[in-house]
Amino acid sequence: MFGFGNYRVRDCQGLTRRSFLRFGAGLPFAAGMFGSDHLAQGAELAKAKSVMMIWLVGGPSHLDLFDPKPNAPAEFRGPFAAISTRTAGMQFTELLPRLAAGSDRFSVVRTNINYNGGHRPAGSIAWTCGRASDGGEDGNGKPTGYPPHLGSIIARSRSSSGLPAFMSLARGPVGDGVGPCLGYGGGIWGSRYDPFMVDCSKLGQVSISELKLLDGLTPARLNDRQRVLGELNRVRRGLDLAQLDQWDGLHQKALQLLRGGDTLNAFDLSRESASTRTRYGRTSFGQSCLLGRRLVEAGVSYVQVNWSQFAEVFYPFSDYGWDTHADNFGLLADWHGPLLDQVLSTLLEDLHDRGLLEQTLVVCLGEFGRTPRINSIGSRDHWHPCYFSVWAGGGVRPGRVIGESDARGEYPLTNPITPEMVGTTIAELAGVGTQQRAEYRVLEGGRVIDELL
Amino acid sequence: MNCCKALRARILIVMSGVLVVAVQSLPAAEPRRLTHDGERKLAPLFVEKGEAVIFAAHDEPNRVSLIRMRLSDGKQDRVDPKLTAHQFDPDVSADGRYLCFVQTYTSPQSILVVRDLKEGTESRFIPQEARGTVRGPKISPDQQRVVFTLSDPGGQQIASVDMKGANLKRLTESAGTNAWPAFSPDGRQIAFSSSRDGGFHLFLMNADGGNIRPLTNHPLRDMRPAWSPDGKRIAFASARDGNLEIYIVNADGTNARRVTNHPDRDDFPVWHPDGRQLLVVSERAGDSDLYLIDLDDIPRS
Repeated sequence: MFGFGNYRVRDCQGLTRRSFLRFGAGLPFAAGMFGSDHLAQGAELAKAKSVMMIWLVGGPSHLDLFDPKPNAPAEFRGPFAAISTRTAGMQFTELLPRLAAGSDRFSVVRTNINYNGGHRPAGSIAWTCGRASDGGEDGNGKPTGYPPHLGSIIARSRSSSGLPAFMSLARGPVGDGVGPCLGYGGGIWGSRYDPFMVDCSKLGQVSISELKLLDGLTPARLNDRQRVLGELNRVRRGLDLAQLDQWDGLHQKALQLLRGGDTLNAFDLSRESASTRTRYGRTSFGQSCLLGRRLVEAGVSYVQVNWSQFAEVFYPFSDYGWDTHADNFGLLADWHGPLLDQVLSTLLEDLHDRGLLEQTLVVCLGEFGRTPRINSIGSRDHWHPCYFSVWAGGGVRPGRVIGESDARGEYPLTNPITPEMVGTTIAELAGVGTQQRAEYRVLEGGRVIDELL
Repeated sequence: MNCCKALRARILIVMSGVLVVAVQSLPAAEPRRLTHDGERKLAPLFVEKGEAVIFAAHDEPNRVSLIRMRLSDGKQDRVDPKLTAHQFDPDVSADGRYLCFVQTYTSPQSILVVRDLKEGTESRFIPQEARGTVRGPKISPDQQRVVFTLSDPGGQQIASVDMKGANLKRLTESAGTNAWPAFSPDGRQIAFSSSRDGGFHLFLMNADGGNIRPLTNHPLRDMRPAWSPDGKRIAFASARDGNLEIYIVNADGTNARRVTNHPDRDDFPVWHPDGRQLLVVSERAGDSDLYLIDLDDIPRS
């Protein structure tokens, strides 16, 4: 179901073209809003028209997935065997047989680091690609002024495709039990550069709950510009001061989306073949990745697909995705491992088969890894000094393993890959070059991960 | 049951850079699909003399529930329609009196629930550690104990309690990870999986935790053992051909043979009470559904 605000417009599986066109035809105005104040310039490495960030919220265990340590002591190595991949010298665990068989399509970094071991600050650091050790929060959890999210930076550098340039596929803000990660948006640039939040269910039902302030805005009303403007003003008058700031951003995003016309078809997963939808699996994470691919095809510059509450949940504590403080090995065997293997391998295959992988940079990682030493209850806790990321397409040279962790997976043996390096590499490949970054005053001090290129 | 294609193959697995030859002569059974909803499922079992099944399904965005499905018409109902906590890993005693399962408690803790359906009472076992968990409970054939995987101080071990959730006994105290215990039909032995020697292999032990000995020893993981009703065979899920397939091994560790042969995941095997069929969760159609495999087509050796 595609929902605009709280008004459910249609079922995605039975969507009519006429209905979508009614959206676009009704609002031929508001051009130039959101995400288009500069074109990319000066980026020599630019290959990626779009970026897909597959965000494994919670911190996936590097030892149990992409960096197995079969010769480590029992209290470190975990129960999953190491299997060879198509890439010489690179092993994964047996939880990832499909990715192992398709490893020639991507490269793996094994020496990512973060500067913080808490979900929210680490997530913010990873997304804003900065060194702020407090993640941009004061001691009371209030934001002290975040740098913009990487998606906001790339969105700002691009001309509009008709859809918001930074889209987030999740049921809500990403965070933990305390609250959302505060770095998930425009930060000091303002809410104008926040991601456009879209929810996609396991059945491919799409809704945009972020626009709930526009309750009552039905398709029939959207055909009349004057009526729409009147409706928006009516809603605006009903807001208090605190809501007005939020309103401006939402207002612009709503208009941006509504004037997208045919591009709105990107949200319609019923246009995919049954076999394609099945390949991605009937999970929110799987269908969200399929939706992400469609958004990339429609020209969206930056799509972040978030695992967990967000996309997939098993236990309540898995609202935090890969935050497997308990039952790490059971969860990974039953749930997380097979799901990631199926969906990520399918996404890369699909992008490749459609000729999209070369122009789409896919990066998959979390905010940190998990403790190499198994904890007292047979599971793993947070570990930010060393973890993994997966890179494909968009100018990345595939089939390589970058960096080496020590024998227990605790620390990098080779140069650590910092959040600044991750951000700089993504920005360069997406066309946000040195000059533009300086102009924006973002990603200062980072360098490109040359080994990936 | 559809006829089976007799595929006889020798499988080469590249493991840690070394070629390992795993020899399996097998027919490829054609499982019969029992569900078509595609929701993520785990831990099914037959109940009511094989007339129904109970399994856990991810049936709402933020909920995993126990589902009972009548096999005659496929009708599905939640076991506890009003419960808001997650429920999974069910087991039912042979006479149907007891239902046990895992239920989420204070996040991220999960607990064992033993429900006496005759008396209408419910007992619980709660791990000591605030993040401790229970998984995979199985009721002993004499209905005196429940064995399960306990993740609590001391690591992930096999433990048991009585039907009131009391008198905890730790049956293993090993390095590595122990999981998926299953009582033999006579209640004298427990099959389980353990990584004490590296990867997950199947082991047997006496019901009191003594005489632990290996049952399988393949480099890739063997897990979720399930005894046949006659106690002579053990079905299990294994990644030994690269992805998860269902295998059967004799209870003395001999004659391991593959039952399924599909590039997608086959997992969670359980026996029909007649010993002639296996129920599995398979992703062979892309989604997660229940399938029934007729073992009459599978040679016993």
